[in-house]
Amino acid sequence: MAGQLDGKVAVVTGGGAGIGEAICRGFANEGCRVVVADREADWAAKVAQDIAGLAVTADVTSETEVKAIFQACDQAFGRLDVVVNNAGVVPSQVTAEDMDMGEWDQVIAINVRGVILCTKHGIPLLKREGGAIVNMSSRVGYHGTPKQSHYAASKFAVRGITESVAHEVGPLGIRVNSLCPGTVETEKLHERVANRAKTSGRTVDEIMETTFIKPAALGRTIAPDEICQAAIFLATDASSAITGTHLKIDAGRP
Amino acid sequence: MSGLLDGKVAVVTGGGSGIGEAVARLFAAEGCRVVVAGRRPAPIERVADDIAGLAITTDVGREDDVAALIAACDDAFGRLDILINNAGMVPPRAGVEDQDTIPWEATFAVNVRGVILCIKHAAPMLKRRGGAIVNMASRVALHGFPGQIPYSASKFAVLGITQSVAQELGPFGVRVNALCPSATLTEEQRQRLAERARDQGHTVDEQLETEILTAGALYRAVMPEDVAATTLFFASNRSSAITGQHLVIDAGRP
Repeated sequence: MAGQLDGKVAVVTGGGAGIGEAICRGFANEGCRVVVADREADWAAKVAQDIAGLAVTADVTSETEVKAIFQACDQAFGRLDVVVNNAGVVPSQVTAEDMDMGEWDQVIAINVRGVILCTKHGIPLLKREGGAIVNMSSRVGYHGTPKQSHYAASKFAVRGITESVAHEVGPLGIRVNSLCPGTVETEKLHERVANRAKTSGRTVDEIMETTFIKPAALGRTIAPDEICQAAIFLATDASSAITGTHLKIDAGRP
Repeated sequence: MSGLLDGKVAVVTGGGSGIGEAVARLFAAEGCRVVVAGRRPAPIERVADDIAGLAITTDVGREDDVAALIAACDDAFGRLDILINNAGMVPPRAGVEDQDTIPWEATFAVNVRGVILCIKHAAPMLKRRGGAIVNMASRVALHGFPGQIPYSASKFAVLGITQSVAQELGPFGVRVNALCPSATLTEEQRQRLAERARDQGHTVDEQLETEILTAGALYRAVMPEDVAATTLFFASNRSSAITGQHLVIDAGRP
């Protein structure tokens, strides 16, 4: 069967787990060759092995390592069609008053600097035949939430990068859009909720229900593959007239 | 080949030409049975003939017509999965002081009342097994446009309807989203473009260049097929966690 991404090559950062892993697997399923970039070598290797992709260990905050991702991609496949800037960190919940500025700098480095570095080094390859960049923002990139000022700042910034770069690279045939997921069922989510349960005296189920499930019109959380489907849409010609915009995937939160 | 909408039934209003026609044809190609609704019988019959669909003459501003449209769908197919609220009118342009020359009531009857009437009558069928509603808003629903006061007001209203109804119908598994295309190069749009070219003493190509091509970062017009491809994404399970949202399709206008 013809895949939606047959013949294409993608770099997916943070591809070793969670949403990034789902995107790597989903893209491969659609015929795409995938460079799985992750800070965790084992994770990247495992996903890459399953999908016959290329694993690259890289910290997106390091320009040298980001450069190496794209060099490896060019050497292995000789082309690049899609960059999915998915690597990111969800920091601890902390008020502005108690903000640890070391953590703040770390969040901005990964979530913002990482995106622009991968964009900077992806563009020279993407502009050879045109392509698409999909940036992972967040629902919090639209609606700040308490104790997440660092995360919100970083994800608003991702939307800013998206809009600016879209206008820059549109004439080169490169489209840039962002996805803004709500609560996605990943292992990291379960870890965070378990931690919150410990400190708040509420059960995991209570927190899931009141914080994530009830506020959503569809009454549920989101599967990683549902984010992948939207990433595929933004990576393919189905969205060829769409650039510089954002799509929320949040199961209908008001 | 298996289609993305195999076994599904859709109602497409304004299905006889332009974006609605492109949607009806794409949906049929993806295995969907389509009820093609429109005010004028000839265009919808032509489209319905081509795709083995059902043509129903409908003025979406009239509740009797809309009730009959949905009843005809139930009679013919016994189900409804997708409602595309595409019927709309673009009144002539006029400045704020010349609004008495503009058909405000007619614009709101079709663009706003028509949308809510179709949702009102389709909801009972959509709720039976879940489904999707896609409302055609416009880029002017976000930014306004000089000389298009009632049109932009009507399209802002469509986004209001989208967000409210998404919250209402989410618990029933019915998703509601809107698309915001910029001027889409339909036959009707070409005619309006040609009229403006004549008024301003330009050739049609010059008008296309200044009004449409150079307006977006991608230097291209948005075509009915572009909007149809996005409509397919929102009507299918590929967007299963997305509701209450709108997506801009504007080739990257700033």
